[in-house]
Amino acid sequence: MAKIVLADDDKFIRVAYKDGLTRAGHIIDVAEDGEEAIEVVKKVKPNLVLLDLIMPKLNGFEVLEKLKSDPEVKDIPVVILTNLSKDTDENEAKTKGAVTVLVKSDISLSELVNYIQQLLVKY
Amino acid sequence: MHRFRKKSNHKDSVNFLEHQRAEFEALFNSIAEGVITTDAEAKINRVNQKALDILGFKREDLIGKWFPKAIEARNDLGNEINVIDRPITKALMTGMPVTGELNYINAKGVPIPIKTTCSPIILENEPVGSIQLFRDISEEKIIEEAKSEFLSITSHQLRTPLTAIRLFTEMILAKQVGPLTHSQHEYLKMIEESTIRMIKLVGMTLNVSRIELNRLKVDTKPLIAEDLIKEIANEVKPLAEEKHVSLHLNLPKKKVSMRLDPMLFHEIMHNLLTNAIRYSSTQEGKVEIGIEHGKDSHTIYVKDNGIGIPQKDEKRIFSRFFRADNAIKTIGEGTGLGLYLVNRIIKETGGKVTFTSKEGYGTTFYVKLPLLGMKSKDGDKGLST
Repeated sequence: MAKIVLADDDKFIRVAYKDGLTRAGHIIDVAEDGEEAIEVVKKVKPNLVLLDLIMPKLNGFEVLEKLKSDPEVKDIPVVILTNLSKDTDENEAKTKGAVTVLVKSDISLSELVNYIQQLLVKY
Repeated sequence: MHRFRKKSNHKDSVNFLEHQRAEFEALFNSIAEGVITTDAEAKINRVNQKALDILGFKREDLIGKWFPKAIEARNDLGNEINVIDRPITKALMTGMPVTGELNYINAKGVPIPIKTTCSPIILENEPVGSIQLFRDISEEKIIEEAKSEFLSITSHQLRTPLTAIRLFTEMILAKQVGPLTHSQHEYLKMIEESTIRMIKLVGMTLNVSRIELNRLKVDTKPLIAEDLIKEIANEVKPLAEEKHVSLHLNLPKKKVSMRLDPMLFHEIMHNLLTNAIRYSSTQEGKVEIGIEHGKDSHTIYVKDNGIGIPQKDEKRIFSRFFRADNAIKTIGEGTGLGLYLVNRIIKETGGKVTFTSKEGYGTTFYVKLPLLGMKSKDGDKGLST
């Protein structure tokens, strides 16, 4: 049971992940764009951030950089959830402080739930 | 009289030679590709007009100069290319024509993307010089870049709604939003399967396009093939169990390290293994994987006792989208891209894939890799997973 912030600019993706992860027992707050993502993370201080890369206002990398340079929230684990290829900037994501990059279309909801479970144990 | 005739013959010869020379110059300078010739030591002795136009040099800047220094070359990452790796060096050393794509630094210091073929000039079995043809491929590169961007964006756009369909279908099937009738369950399972198939196809199309656009990056590290094979065998175990196929690993005790790109290697082996399992014999399917380390190459084999490849289809088995009739009968869905990708990846990395097969009895695929392993390649993208 954890607080998770999900940032994605696609409405259906937000609904799907929010519903699925809520039923898995977590509390989900969503954001539609990069700026909102930062606001919500700072307000909620979640246990985990799920971050899309392609978003309006600020893209995922810019959000990641800002979060990691803010002492209030820099220790919150961030997982990039993208539909670009995994290799696209996986190095960049990890260098900027993300835990990993997951490709949304390639991972089922139950696989994501398991992954989050394992991650939360570590963090 | 005699002396008079000799003089006029001499004058005619000189005129004739002058004329020949003028004709040659005109021909040389009208060639629409850049041409540079050198002596056997790679000192430039002729440059045509197109070469000057492409590179922006004056003829006197280049004549008599040593080619590799007069015209600097860099790779796409901006690093200078070693003299020994330049096409002209390879051509003169091997006595064979060499083709390459690289960037020549023009007179203003700007890198120009170039495609070139350099051939040694052989006279009486000796290299007496070289002749290099090259052309500016800047426009082609822009088009390639645009195609690649388009592909990335399109796959991204396609994957987003596919993700939504996948997630909602999964939740309905898991009865998270209410009970399902038998038919609803069955229909949804088919939607889910179709969606996952489409997702795989999008991924594969992206990979195929990257290979074809020559943008595939091959990133090798020293690895032990046996360990990777064991991992992949573990991954496909659930599939093997589902299809009642037994997996046998025939791996030597002595492990040998070679350079491998783990993602590409995974793609190759995963494709071959899942094929072997899926097209296996319905009774007692057996799949064997092994590796042999030879003196100048390594061979990995995947052997099954499945449906085999009909002789008439052997030539096309590696073609894009090709599926043999017996394959289609055995498994309805399949992209026809798996073996195409396997073949392309192996070729790109310096290896070769072959097979032996008998319809109804089984197939064995052999992947031969160079002794040192896969050849690295600068590209800008790895495989899409």
